[in-house]
Amino acid sequence: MTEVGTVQETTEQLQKVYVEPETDLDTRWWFEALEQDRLEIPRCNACGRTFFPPQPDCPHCGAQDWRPIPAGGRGRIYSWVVCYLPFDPRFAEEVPYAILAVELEEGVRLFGRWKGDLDAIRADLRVQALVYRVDGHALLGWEAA
Amino acid sequence: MFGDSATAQGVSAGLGSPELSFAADLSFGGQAPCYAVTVAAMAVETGMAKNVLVYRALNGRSGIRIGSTGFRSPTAPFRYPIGFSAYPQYIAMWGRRYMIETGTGYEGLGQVAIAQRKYAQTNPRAVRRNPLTMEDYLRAQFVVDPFRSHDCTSEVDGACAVLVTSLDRARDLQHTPAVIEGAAWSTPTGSGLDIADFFNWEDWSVNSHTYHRDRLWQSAQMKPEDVDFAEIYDCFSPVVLMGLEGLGLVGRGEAADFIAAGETGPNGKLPTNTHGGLLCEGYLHGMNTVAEAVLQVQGRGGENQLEKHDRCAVTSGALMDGSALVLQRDAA
Ligand SMILES: [Zn+2]
Repeated sequence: MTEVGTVQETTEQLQKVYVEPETDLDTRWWFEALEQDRLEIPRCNACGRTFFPPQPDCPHCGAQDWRPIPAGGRGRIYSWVVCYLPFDPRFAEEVPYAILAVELEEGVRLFGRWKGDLDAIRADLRVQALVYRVDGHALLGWEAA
Repeated sequence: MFGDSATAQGVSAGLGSPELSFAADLSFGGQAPCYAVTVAAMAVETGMAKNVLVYRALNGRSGIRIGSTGFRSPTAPFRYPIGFSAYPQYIAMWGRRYMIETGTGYEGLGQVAIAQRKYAQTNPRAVRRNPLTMEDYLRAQFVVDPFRSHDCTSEVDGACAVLVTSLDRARDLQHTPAVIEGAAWSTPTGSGLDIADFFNWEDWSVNSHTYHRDRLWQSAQMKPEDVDFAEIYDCFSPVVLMGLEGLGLVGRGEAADFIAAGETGPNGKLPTNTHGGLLCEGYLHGMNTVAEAVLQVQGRGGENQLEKHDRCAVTSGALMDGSALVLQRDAA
């Protein structure tokens, strides 16, 4: 990691750098699809299973042979948190907000920002993916299905 | 691992120590302490080292704050931009799933905080020592629902170490040795690409300790009911529930009721986190959890010394990978 002056500066520097989607060769395509309002997930050509996050090898069987498939965006709430304390100062204006872990019908779990009423969240609630934008970046969100 | 670590080389230089014949800098977090002790014991066992100092030293409060510090990882872009960026939030996500799976409520998490605070009141090393009632607990604001501040450890500046050596040499020392009877580590399938990648972890209501339970007890040649007390890693409250259940010390989904019934208190069936845990003593990545186990086994637990302290189970780690030890008082 880059060395920057004091440890306090280092902490601030880390926060500044990593709040934007910092993609790499393995993950860029997923965000590019989302930019075009498409939710896609990797599916292994060898074992047929879906997985997430995107990575070079299928985590189920190890094959380096997969392709993105379109996902319907329908799923159920597996777990969630409601953030009150903004650990990252960029979200200070947005608290409280909820992050959902959703089990997609295609068999993977995804994180996204809940765009509905906080009181409506419950386990197994049916939700639908949506795309929202912050500073031009497409990000994943959820609404009630 | 966040630039918050004192290296073996640096500590050796700082202590003016003689030549090291063994060194290991483990790039881990809270899953490491039991495992670091295990690695040290392996080095002693093979003859590569005579005595190994296993330590954690960090300016966790005045320096890098682990609770809010970001780190580069392949899965970071799926978390940070949506505002899912901190450990308390990640483990709250597991805590919620634990609550869903077991029917445990907020009060169940509160039981952990309250039981441990009782021990902390008589632990001079604890940073949180005020009495805590359920009313106080439930009145506290959420940090990240389901967690209130009482469910979270405190970031502290501190250091902690244990010395690992052969049993022969240990018997020449001033205090009764705590003997390493069993040890286990696991990185189960689905552990993900980094310490915050749990997309592929099947069940967020159980952690690594469920996976190495059998190996741990087998290596110790003991059963869960053989231990007198437990020191369970607790960066956040539900991790205690998962640890107790994971090692089979209580039944699935029973941990919160077990604690509420006083069974983890000094006179209970299984006194647990007798220093007040990381929740009250502060976050030295659970090296202090191991140290408390050793002190108790040796009979050096101060005001919190247990009457029965011959055998202890210890855990390290909250989520996917983790480690555990079984310690026994020499000749017990
Ligand atoms: Zn596959």
